[in-house]
Amino acid sequence: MLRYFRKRLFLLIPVLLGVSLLVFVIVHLAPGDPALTLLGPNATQEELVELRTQLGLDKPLVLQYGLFLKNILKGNLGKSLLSGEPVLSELKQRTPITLRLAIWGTLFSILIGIPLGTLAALYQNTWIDNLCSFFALAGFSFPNFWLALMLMLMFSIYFPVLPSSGMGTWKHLILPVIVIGIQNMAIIARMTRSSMLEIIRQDYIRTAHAKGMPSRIILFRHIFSNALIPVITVIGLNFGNSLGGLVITETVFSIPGTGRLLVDAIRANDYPVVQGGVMFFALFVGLVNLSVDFIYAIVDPRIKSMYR
Amino acid sequence: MKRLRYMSVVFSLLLVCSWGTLAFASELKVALVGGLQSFDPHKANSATSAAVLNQVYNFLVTLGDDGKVKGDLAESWEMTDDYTWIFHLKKGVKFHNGEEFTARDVKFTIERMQDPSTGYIGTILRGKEIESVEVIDTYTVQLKTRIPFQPLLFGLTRHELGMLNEKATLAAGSEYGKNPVGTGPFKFVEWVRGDHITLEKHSDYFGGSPKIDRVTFRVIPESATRTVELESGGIDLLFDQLPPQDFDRLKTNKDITLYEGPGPSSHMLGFNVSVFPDKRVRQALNYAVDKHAMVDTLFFGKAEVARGPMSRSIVGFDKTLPEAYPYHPEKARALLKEAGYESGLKITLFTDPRTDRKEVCEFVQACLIDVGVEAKVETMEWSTFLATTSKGVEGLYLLSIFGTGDADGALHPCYHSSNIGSSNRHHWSNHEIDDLLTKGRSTMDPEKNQEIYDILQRKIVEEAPQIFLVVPRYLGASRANVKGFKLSPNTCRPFVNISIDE
Amino acid sequence: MEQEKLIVRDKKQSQLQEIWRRFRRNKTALVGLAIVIFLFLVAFFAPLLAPMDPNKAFFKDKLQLPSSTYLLGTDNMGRDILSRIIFGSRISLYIGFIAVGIGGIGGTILGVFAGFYGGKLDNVIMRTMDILLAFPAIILAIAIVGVLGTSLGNLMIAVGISHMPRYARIVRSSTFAVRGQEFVDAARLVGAHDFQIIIENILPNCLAPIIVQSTLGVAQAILAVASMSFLGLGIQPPTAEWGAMLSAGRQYLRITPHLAIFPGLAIATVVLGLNLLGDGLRDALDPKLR
Repeated sequence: MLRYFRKRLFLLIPVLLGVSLLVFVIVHLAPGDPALTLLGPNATQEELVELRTQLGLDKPLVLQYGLFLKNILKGNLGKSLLSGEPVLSELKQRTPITLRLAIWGTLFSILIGIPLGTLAALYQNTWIDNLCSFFALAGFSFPNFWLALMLMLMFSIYFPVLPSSGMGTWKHLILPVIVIGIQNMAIIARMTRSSMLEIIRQDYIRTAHAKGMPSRIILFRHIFSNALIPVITVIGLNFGNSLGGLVITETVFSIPGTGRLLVDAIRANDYPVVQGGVMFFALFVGLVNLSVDFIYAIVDPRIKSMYR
Repeated sequence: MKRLRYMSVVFSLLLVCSWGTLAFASELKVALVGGLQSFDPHKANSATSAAVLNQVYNFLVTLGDDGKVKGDLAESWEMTDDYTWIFHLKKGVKFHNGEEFTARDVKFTIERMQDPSTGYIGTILRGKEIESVEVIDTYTVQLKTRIPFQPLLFGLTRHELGMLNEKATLAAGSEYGKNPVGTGPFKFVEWVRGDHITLEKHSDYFGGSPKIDRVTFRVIPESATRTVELESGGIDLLFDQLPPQDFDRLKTNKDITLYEGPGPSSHMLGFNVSVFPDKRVRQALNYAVDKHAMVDTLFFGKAEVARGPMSRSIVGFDKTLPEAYPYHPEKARALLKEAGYESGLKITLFTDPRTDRKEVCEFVQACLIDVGVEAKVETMEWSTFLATTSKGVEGLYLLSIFGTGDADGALHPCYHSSNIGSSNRHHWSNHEIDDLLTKGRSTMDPEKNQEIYDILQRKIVEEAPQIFLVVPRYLGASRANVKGFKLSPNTCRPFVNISIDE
Repeated sequence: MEQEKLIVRDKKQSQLQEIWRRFRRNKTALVGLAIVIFLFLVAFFAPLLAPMDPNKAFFKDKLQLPSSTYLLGTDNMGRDILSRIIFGSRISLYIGFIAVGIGGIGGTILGVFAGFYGGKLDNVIMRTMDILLAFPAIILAIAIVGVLGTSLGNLMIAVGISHMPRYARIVRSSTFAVRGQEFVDAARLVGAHDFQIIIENILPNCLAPIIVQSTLGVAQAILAVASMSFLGLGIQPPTAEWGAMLSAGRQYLRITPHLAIFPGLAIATVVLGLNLLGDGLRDALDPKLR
């Protein structure tokens, strides 16, 4: 089994290579001039040329790509064109902020999503099922920035109990975490529901019932533990996406996270930050997916038996 | 026994006193629209960076409330000839690290700006115009310019010319951008990039110790969030970019003080003149836009119709100029017919994605339909927008012009043909305008200088290289307990005189 | 041969009936269907339903609250919000379907080839999909739009491309499931081309998950475009797209919140309807959940 995962880890490398090429191409295809952003609208031609040389932007593209790859292998993700800061240090500073949001958001969505999905599955096709599914989906259907704005309006202005932006105290986390959680709980609830429905119909559950096992034990020992396995995949996928995927929440609540860093960099043609950032995200996604598969393999008895 | 009681009384008194001072440590929280680029003035050229830098540094000269130049670190100055400026510096000015400010620091600062290896990215005062800086004595410095350069003083007021301490700057090397030392009323404490900047007061400030102990700049890019923070008390001061619709709404709020003043920047839709060579078409489009309606609809009355290429806050503005091209759709149609476009005209308006900019284009679009002109709106990211318009767009582009604060800074980059391909986005080459601009730079006599710029402004209106739009007013707000703040159209002034009532 | 075809046809018909019966039982799915049908009707009859030209600006009437003339009020340029929402339905449907079409067709083709031929082709295709998936969806879309420009077409291409990997994955696993079965080998023996086999045998098997994913995909595409508009990269003025309306309305949130509330509700309703429908289809089409 370890061999399988080593192979998967190894397979990450061509994917990362592909990502590096794709992002390099996209970023350099995009029209725009970081030198102009830096110097402002009144820059003269000579100043632009001078700055571009200084920033190393005048070298041939293939050379720039080669340098980029070489530096990555050394662990150097480059320096931001706009701030001069090493990309890695900017990422190091912002990643914990976004991860904190992601973790709490995921916890919140699990806390609400799994019970909802369970109820819906246990009472399939009754009004409880409909209500729970509706609830879960409703959260998913509102555009998240709209939700964020409404919550901000409600809890920072009309009833001023929560801060509306920035970070620092646990109070600052509440609104963004709610927004993220509501968005994600639908998928978790849905997955829980369909997974549980599948398990419930299995023969061994019927057998346990027939043997006279109390429903609660059946629920927790057999149904839950098996049903939650595919849910882990979904949670993992969501989490893996969060470094870049939380940009809207970060924008509305003015939280200096990695999503905003990347989007701002894309808009300003800050090549090193985009390239380095995307590589970082891709690595993160790859590792998270791998870990999820690993947990899956450990927890799912079917797969475990495959490797016995 | 007695002694114990005595000690406990003293102790509790001390506790109360220290608690008292802690409670009264006043902090001013200010909202910033974007992040700080660097504390190194030679690497920062955005307006938000200027707001922060102006608290930490001083300059040889600065702009007064009337928009005119007055001395800051320089006590007085004179010109011995057309090329030579002598500045007499104030004595006893202390840097944040305790060192005294001397002429050597001036020489160091300006030469560092001119040194290509320090990566100076400001472009307003290009440094090329300054030929040499000499230390005459500890408090006297001499600047020689290459050509007679009238805009020098305005250039020196820019935040990029913050005076550096030679010793500290050299010691910090490439890390200077995060460890600034200046003479300003506030000194550096902490910077979390993208989130906040903290400064504390410099009690030895030569202009008197500031009344507040700390200043925290919070980066809040979302406009709606900024206003929310102001109302909830998360922010004490919003020194610019208060949305005009919120202005009227906040008038009844007793916890908020509002500020209003003349705006610095003139919005305009520039023509790529090589795509629109017929002056009649350009003038027609000018007549087609109802600027007063724009002021009402988009700016809620908080703007002025443009009277030329510059706003009235810019020194050199011709006060006798009338509004440029008052709304006249019949004239517009007539001119278009004359130029051969009776059956209609299709054009494209380019802008960056900011909502207020898009709204202006939408508004113009709606006006132009009435005279038979179909306008498409296209947005591009700011850096792409700047690059593409420099190369030349197939249509009009929306920009807001300010410059340095004087007429040369506002006009030369945009209209001089030597800047075609960079800052002259009109791609306009007009010999008369070029000559006037060059002459204006080196005319040192103020009256003759004003004459030249008066002619220039009228000529530019007449030739219509752009659709003259509006000059939005500068709007700000603070909590009602913040006292002493004055709105300034050119930049954010040092917070020396601001105090917070409890 | 004819007899067999008849039997197959009957089987298919009763299968469809069965599916419909299951679908009907699910109340929320019916609600979803109703919403989606309503959306189509509104979009189709938009010029008849809308009281005014959605782009005509009456500057003097700006920012009015709902009244008898302007049933949902006016926006900041004095345009009727109701008319804009009605016409906005066309754009949302247009966006949703074309984006999903691009992603779906592209992803299906890739997935089928990956699943059918396996081996190296499978590897290459799936690695490419992995590469796309390594980008957070919104980042990928923003980057593509950054390159191509912010026109409607480019937006749909960007969103479509970011959806492709999902379809590829789903179709690939369905293809795998069918490929090994005997009738495929049988068809080969009879001399059928690969192409024929794919169209007649494999694709119909993938149809169910593709339909479900597409329904949900339209919803996701609408949300994605709205998010891009919120960041300023989406639809250009004066086109009445709900996300753009929301984005423009948010600066007036404090004085006239209805500018943002109504388009937000429109998006939420449509997306909810599509999601309910998609869920209902998934339940009805999945033989395991009988």
